[in-house]
Amino acid sequence: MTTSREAMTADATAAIGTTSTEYPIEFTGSGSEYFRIWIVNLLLTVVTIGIYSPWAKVRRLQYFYRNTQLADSVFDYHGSPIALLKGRLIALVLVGAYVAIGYVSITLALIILCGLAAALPWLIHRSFRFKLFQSSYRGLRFRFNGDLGSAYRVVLIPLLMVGGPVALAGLLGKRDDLEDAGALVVGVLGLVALIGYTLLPKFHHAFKRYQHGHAALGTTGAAFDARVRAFYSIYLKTAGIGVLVVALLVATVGVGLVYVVGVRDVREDNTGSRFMLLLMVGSVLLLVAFYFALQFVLAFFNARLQNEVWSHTRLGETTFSSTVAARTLAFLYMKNLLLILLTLGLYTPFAVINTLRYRLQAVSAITVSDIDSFIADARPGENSTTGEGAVDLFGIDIAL
Amino acid sequence: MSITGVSARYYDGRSSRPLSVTLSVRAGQARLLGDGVELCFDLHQLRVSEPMARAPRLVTLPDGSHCEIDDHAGFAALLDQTGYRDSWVVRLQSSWRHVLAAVSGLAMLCAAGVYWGVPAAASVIARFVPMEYEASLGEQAMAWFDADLMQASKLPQADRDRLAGRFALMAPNADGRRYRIEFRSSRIGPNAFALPGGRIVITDELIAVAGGDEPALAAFAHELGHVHHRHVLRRLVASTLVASSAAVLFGDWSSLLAAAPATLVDLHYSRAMEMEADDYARELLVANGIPVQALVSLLTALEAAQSAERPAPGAGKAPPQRTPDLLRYLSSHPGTEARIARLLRQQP
Repeated sequence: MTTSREAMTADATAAIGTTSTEYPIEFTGSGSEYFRIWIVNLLLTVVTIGIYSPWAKVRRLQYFYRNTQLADSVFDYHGSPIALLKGRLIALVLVGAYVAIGYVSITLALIILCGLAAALPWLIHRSFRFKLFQSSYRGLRFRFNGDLGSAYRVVLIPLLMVGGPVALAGLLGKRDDLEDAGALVVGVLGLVALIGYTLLPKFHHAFKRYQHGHAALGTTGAAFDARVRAFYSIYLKTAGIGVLVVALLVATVGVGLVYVVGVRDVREDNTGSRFMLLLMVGSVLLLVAFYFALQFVLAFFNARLQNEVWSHTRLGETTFSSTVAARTLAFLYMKNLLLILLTLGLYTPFAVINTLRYRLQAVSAITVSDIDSFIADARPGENSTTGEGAVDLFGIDIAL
Repeated sequence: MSITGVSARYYDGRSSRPLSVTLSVRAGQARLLGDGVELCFDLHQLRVSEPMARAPRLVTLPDGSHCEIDDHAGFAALLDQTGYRDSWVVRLQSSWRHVLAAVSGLAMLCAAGVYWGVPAAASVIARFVPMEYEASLGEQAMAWFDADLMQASKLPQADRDRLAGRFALMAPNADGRRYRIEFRSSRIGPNAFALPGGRIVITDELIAVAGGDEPALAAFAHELGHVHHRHVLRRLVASTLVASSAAVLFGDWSSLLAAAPATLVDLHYSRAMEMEADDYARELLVANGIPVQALVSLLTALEAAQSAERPAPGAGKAPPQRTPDLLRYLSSHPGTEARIARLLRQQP
């Protein structure tokens, strides 16, 4: 097992004179080809009232993986639709039970909700294992070696600190007999939530470290050395851009109102209805503008986060570089949103492909050793379809 | 049998080193040769990946190892020889004509689902929703209205008792379990509506506009129609259904788009429900010897009250408002004229 310390020595080796090679990722998927896969998936999912959706997911992922090339080889996805279907049925039963019981007894539903929250880290752990084990490159399976205890640490604490106070406040809000203690309780809950939100970048960092730091390809383990400070910087800058965008929108609305009310006296032409129409059009435009502005903030966050995370992930002696430009991604998002709206959603698969292409092709792998030298985990069954991960009775897939 | 070889990269599953081999087929057997590899398998033991325009095709061997093939044409010819056929989903995906047929099929399916499927499903699902839950929804709504919009009725108690009493004779209400009439005064003006769980809210302003017992009773009857058909609950279930399926189908990208169909469908259903409630009211009125005219005059009076409220623009008479067809589909209440015409037409 290659440890992160060994990985660190890669730079030293490079300095001595071994030449490092850069392999850019190439994505060969096309929008028009994926459109056909997407629409057939959609049709079959509707016709089968959702039963087909695991098959659709496998087709979709296989299209993405097999069109992702690195050093003249593609990735592959091996997830079994039946396993995914079982996972989904279990999730459906759990959520259904929760909703149904919610009608009958709030207390019982709360107990179930707590149970679900307690099970969430386990589910995420399972889903990481499933997802990575079902992915391969050059015939070698990826693996996830993170332990369950760490999953609880990185998931449950943020969940309790950020989600807990909100849930508790909602619960206590329904009771009237707490009026005296109310202010104190609200204060404490608010403080916990505030600390939780302040620590959000740290939580996110810990989560990514858990996710990326415990991945492996064959016997080669990954390491993650991004700094918490970098996460704080991304979050703060995103918040700053968000504030700026909102301020800009508010200013635009202000100017618009002044124009409508002041400069052009709309009451002159005797129709209040025209004023109402103007107001309606204005608010729709504002909503659309807000949605577009949101894309900009989102693009900034996604671009910076991807760059930070991938530039600080190593797989043995292989490092990665990611150079997504926030501005390019933002314009891509906006173009996609516009075309999706104009085509009533039919542009969606094209949007998915062009976003994926941009984000994937911004990444390259840099290695001082040979990309041919990864070795499978030789423990019995670890790399075959009968391995530990494959005998999971059900596949849990949580998109993260 | 001719032997056609296709060059491939073979990965043995033990290391990431590609071995360059030639894949050939002879007499039901596939053979991999080259770079120290010599493997032979029965054709049925191999799995072949779906074709993709620019991705290599993968052939997976029984032990999980596989090869990548870039030569699409050569491999297709080889597959042809073996009599291999792509799955029907792949054939569907690869032809634009089939895909277009699939799209129109999907559109028709969605339309059918919205027009027949959702209302049918909603009324079935509504049957399984416990009465207690429906009642608690109604209570919450009533509390919200009372806190914000409604005050206690200023109508004399005797009038309220008389109206409720007459209506109880028309529509028996054992233990008050079917419906409950709530008199309120409100700044929302003349209005009547039904809440889930059987509460019928009537504003003093509506009773004033009705101008008599019988039109007021007609209003009760119309609202009881909504209660009888559990309209509010069905609307709730229907819009939840549409919203959640739209979110599942299209929601991975834009919640804005996903929300639109629910709103459209919701408005459309409420139109159909107004008519259903009118029908119920007509039957109830006629069965109790009250002429349908009572409901008609209520509708006329309401319409008059509403247009009086609207400030007339300019000095002249307001031009008659014509509703364009699209707006008629979108409007939550069918035009009063249309409803009156319908009531009168269906009179026995």
